[in-house]
Amino acid sequence: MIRPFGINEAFFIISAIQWTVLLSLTAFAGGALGGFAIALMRTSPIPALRRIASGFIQVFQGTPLLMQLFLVFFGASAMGWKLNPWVAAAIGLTLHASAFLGEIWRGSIETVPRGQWEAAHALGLRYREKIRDVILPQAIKLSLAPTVGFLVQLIKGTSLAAIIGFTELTRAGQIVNNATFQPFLVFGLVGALYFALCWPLSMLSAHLERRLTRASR
Amino acid sequence: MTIAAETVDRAADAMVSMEGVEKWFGTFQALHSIDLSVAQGERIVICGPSGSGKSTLIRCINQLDAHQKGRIVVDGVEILPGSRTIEAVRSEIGMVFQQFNLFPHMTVLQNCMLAPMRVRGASREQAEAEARKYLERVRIPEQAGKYPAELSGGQQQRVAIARALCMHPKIMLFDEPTSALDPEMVKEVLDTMVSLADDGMTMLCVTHEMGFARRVADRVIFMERGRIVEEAPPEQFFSNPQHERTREFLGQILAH
Repeated sequence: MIRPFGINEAFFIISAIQWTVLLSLTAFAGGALGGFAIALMRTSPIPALRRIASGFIQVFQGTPLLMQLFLVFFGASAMGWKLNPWVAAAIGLTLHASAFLGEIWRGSIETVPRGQWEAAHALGLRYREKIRDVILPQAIKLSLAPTVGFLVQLIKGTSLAAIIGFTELTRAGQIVNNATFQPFLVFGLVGALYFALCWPLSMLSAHLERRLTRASR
Repeated sequence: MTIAAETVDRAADAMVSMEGVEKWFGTFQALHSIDLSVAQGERIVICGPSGSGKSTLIRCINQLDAHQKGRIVVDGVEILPGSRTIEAVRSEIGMVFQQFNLFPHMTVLQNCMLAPMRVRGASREQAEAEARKYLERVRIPEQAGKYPAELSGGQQQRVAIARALCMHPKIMLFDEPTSALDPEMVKEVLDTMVSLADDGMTMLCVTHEMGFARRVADRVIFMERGRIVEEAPPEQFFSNPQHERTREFLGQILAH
């Protein structure tokens, strides 16, 4: 039975934003922790750690996000754990974000001039202090713009969680469309809502990048 | 037995002792069997053409570059490549770089306070008092609150010297400290180094400032292709160099 697209349908879709936002924030927070570890491993003086981190990054950069979500969701159930779609999506996106943020932050850490490391070595600072007091404060500044840029990618990436059955913005749209059969209206609204989330962040990222270029001149 | 004991004694006497030190970068040999002994309070100037290994030599002393063969002993402690206690040795050795390498996100004062607080466990008040004392010493106390980017090259290099001095190093290594400076700023940095030398600091300076070498060096060392070619007190080094290559080199750099 086909329903008309009314205020309830629109409200159902709009309220699904909270799940998109929550999933994005969860994956971003988890990815920030994972990415930090990956970035440190990738720039570590210990070769074995560098190789492990590099392998992790290559696997997650070299496969589609949808496959990663499938592997977590179906892989878990194959091993006898019943993950609900929310947990599976959160884990999959966290791993994905860890790899990408790890790579972005590795780049930022390596952009800090070698002389900064050498000065820190020469003063007798230990690894922890070198990283915390000398390298990270400079690397973080460099990484802000691409990090916010990746957050935009991540928000859009959460739409794939619809396919493993997690009801976020995209899946809410599918549900409403199945009832109203007004795909252009429904997905137009869904698209506009993603845009409303992502566009300000893209602006912020561009602004941060301009500020950095100005500062380095 | 006797020989071994003698070696140990010599190493213990010297502030820095290098014996048969060799260093490769891949297949390129940067240092060939370097023997060098530096007594406490001695001032050594190392010169030579670019790529001769002079920077590598002093960078091996605090292991910014790890040597592959030979022995390096600093103040009685043998430096082993990859050692886990290298930080302790480094904290006793001050280093000043060609490019200053101040920490750009910290003020001048913070640059000087970081290592004493983190490595020596100094309190903030102690570290600040020391930092101000050494900034006074290099004659820029008024710049304490500024960031490195706000200073001239000469001022930055003097801050770098103060930052190293705040750790009360036993030795100071200078790696071409005036090479990146505009000519009018060279003097202020050299003056600071001279006053440091007058206070009896043990110094190894890689530099082409021959006026400085003449004035403060106890010994001048000329290096070429990773070898120490000539080693003499400055009066002898400049007036009567023994090796053809030294004469050529001095001819080139003193000509203008």
